[in-house]
Amino acid sequence: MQSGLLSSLIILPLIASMVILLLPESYKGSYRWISLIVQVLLLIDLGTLIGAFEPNHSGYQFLEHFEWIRLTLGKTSILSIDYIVGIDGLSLSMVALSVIIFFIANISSFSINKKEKAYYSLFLLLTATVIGCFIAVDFFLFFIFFEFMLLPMYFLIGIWGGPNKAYASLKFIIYTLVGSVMILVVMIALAMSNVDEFFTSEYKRTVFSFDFRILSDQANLLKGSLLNIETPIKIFGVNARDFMFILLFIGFGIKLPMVPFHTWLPDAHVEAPTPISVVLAGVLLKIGGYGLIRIAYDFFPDVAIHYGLLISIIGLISILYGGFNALAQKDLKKLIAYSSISHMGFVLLGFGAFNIEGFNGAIFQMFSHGLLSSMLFLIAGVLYDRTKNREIDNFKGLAKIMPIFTVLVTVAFFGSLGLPSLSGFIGEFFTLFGSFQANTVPKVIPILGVLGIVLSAIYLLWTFQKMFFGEFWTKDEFQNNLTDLNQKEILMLGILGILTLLFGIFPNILFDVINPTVIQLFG
Amino acid sequence: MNPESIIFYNLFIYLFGFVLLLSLNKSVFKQLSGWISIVISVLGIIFSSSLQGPSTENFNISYNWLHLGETRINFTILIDNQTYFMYILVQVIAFCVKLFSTKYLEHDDGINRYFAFLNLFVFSMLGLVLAGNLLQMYLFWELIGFCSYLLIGFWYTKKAANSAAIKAFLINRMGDAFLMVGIFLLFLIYGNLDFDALIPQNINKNAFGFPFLSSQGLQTLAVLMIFGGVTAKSAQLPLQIWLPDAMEGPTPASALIHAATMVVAGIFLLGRISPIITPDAGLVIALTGALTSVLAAISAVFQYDIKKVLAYSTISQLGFMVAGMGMGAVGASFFHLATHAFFKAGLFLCAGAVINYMHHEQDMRKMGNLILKLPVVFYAYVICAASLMGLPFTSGFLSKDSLLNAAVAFGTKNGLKEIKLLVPVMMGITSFLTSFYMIRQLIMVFFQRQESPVDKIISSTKRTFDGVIKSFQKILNAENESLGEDRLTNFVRNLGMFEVSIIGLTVCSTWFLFSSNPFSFEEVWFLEVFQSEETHFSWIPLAVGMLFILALLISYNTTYEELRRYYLGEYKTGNQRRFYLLAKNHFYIDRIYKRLFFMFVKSGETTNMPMTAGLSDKGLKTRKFEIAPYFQLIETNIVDRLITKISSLVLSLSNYSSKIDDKILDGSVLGISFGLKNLGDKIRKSQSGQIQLYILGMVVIILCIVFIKIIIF
Repeated sequence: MQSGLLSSLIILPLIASMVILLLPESYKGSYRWISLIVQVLLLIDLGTLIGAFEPNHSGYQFLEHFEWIRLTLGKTSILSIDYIVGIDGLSLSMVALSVIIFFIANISSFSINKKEKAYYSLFLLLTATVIGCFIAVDFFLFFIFFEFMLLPMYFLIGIWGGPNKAYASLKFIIYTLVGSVMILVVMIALAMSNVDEFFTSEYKRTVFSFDFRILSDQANLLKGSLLNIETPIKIFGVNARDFMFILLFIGFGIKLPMVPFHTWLPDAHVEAPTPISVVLAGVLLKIGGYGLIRIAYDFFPDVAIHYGLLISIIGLISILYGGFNALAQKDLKKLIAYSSISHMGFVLLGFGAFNIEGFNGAIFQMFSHGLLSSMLFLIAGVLYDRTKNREIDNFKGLAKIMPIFTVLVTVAFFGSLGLPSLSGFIGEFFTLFGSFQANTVPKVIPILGVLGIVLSAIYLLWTFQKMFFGEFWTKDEFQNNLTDLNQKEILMLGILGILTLLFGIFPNILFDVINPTVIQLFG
Repeated sequence: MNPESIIFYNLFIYLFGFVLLLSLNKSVFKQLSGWISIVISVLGIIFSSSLQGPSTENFNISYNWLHLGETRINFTILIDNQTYFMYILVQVIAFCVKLFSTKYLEHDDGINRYFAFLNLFVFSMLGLVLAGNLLQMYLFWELIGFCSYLLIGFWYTKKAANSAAIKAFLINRMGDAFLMVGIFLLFLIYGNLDFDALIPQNINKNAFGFPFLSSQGLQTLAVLMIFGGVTAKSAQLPLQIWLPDAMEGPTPASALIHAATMVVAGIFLLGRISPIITPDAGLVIALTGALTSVLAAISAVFQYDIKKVLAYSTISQLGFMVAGMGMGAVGASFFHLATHAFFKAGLFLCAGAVINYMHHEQDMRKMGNLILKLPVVFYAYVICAASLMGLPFTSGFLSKDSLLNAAVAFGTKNGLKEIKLLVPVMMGITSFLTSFYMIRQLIMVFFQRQESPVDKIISSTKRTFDGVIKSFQKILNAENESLGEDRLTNFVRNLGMFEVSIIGLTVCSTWFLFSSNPFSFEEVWFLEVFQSEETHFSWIPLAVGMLFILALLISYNTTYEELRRYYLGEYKTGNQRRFYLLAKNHFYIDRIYKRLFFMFVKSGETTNMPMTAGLSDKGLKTRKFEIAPYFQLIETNIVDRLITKISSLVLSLSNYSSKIDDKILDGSVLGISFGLKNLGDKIRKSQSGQIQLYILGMVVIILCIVFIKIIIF
């Protein structure tokens, strides 16, 4: 089924990005509309995808396969790199999240007035690479997108960021590059150990492949290779497979982010402009989680099961550490950034459980965090746009003058702290639930994890109370700027709020899609 | 209509009411929101009255909600007797409260918001009682907590209201954490969360991951965890402290949420899981309930705020119900729940009328003489209070009798030497204290007394007593006179919205709604539906009566003494005062939480913090242990610095290597970080259009590669 639907998700924004670059400055006003039209087209694309997607079918759908690079290695083997895109339930949920968040972020970008040409072409480039990451079925292709994503991100923070942008963007790129290097090592090791049986018999040579479908099947492991299971090879005294898994875990963990590799996140968020914060928290962090499932867990299931405890502990630490740090913050954006760390800790907790409930919960948590954290950053953006200030203590009693804003903030805050009927609850509940049912994890970990729910209630409600209740007060210079939401902001926050509510009440919309993929992972 | 659609429409109208009223914010119909929501309530009651009450067969219907692999959790509607009673009760009380609120909040700017929240609350509460499994119940359990948060903090510009709201939500969150662990444990034990499946036969014997616990012990643990959730929602030891502060909310909302319905959700949950409550867990629950009821009653005796007395009284009565559930007296406990809902809501609405009349003065010592000004409220108050005290001809008599009966049976089952005996003893003490504080309150609020001039008051005790008798006579006469037809119509015409709703609840507090015989609970239809105790101690009502008379005698004197001292400005000293403060502040349980909380958070402003509602800062020394700031320190000083150190190490290394050989640098991995250091500067220089070119170049090259490869191969 070579419908081209998936490729269009990548190609459309790429073309638009180039079009914007080539348009002369006199068309300055049209950049944002071109970009928005592309995002709408992507939404339509997504709608078609969802309509045609068969949820009960495990494995990849809408596959598009082109041979790309055939590298002859010596006389006996060939390295095959293909352009393969396809989606299963997991990727579909992530693609849907990205398309929605990019659409929202694009609307939010309208308030950017500096160097629009560069901004929108970079933004579209980012869109293409992020979506590419989620739909690539070839490790090499995935890695290209994964790496290429850094470039627009780096400039988007480095040029349109706050006062400390150079530091933040540098920190971001160093961290992520270190992670990338680790992933690169594993990629090469994996490709050199897995053989495509089909093409091997066809070409009469050993064909090493980057195809996810081949890498995930352990029957394809070459006997005697670095990563074979029967006769383990040691690297620094550790089994090669264990070593590779840990590399992947750290590599994607940095992106997730997990404690202690998280310090790039608060800085990047504080400096990034609002739409980029939204994309960063809403989508980019999810690539870490996606990579963990798609690559670390899928290719090393035999190893992963032994690290359940470790991953759960790191998850727990992330939850509590992020929560306590959030409690100490004075800057709204920083608080949200730390709460992101805390919430992504639940994702790790779900992965650590290594059972169907935990994985489903973790994926749901990623999705819901994508919606909620985007909402939270938009909220911080609303205040920042009006006052150029984000200090929590500078605002009091906003409820009185910004009633609509308060309603939407209530949805976002209570969704984040896990009020049932909003999506945050389902994710948190089922990651903890899975962790509790897991045999490999001592019960004390999920029990302590439940504390994370109390913690998030404390810091979010406290902030809510400080900023929105009581008599209205701000510094004099902001007084006149604080007006209630305009239609654009209502639209953005409203869409996300409704989605949060929808997935909170009918979680099966998402679970039905991801369940077959998760079951297949354990099958 | 089939029950399914009845329930659907019933829930839907409340939810619709919530959305509709919230959207009325700026519209001209705002003032009508009270009436809109009364119409909704009436519709709801009509709907639910067409619902057939089940007697033996339960109604059960499931919808596919979510499934993860093998785990399936359905959205189940379960209607058994327990549900049915609550379903009606919640709506009836909500109706009365809404009627009352239309007047109470008529000049409030946020009236539509208030009624919207009330409707959301009724929706969530109905959802809770209909829930057929634990997860679904948890969902609505938190939603009612959320509604309570919204309503306590309804006057959001008031600092005290905000603190109280956040405190209530956080304490409930702690309880929810316990409840969640309890749910996980029960799933581990039973492999299912449906209430139908929670019966001892379904235990999954080989799924236990706990080293030191037998299956019985694990089950006890699970039930106690669930009970942890109950302690927060139903305000039991040690999480009861939020309820007195919750009185910052509008009084009618307190009547509905913090007296009649929401707080009994915990009792409801205990009733749902009653088949699996093990004897050990039951004992703990019963003792906790009984102890809470005594402590709260002691605190109630020393309060001056009219609503706080009622709040502590609510905690105390909830303790009764919890104890009943622990003893296994499900029927009696439910019966008390139902009667308590009516008379306590009645008391709260009366208090609301008094507060409204007094222009939002809540100190009982400043009231008095209201017997003449608010006669209808006074009668209603007396009847409801009698019901609370357990006097004959009231519903409270029947339910208290049945509950005490069960307690005595429970306590004396295996002789008198067990710790179980404490339960009936403590409940007896509570009965006495209940009469004591209610009489004190009646006297302080309604009875006639001389005002201010201090010298007169010294000898006023005697005279006031005469005054009381006179005022009684006066009212009795007035009553007789008004039996004439004109008077009657006049009386009816003068009834305000307050009186109508109060009278409605008061009538429900009398015996005939529940039993044909006012003196014995054996004929209560309620208890026939739930199978209950077989033994019957006929001396219990007499004992309660004796306790009442004793309380009347003591309380009458002490209350006037108290008032006298108040006017004279005399205060107790020494141990007496210490005990008074201890009891008034509810044994400083609050303070423990505050200390605990301060350990985690450092803040210059102590007044604006969660968990500090209703607390003065006196006697609280500085906080030595603040955890959150330490985390921040770790973050900046260790984690971040470590990374910076590493990167500077890398940088210096790369500098070093660059000096050795530039060419190696270009290719080395270390060079990346060095290059990046300068990149930031370079970007700034190259902003004048070169980037676009750069990116364009990259895009074009990449695209070219992609397309060429695709085309060629």
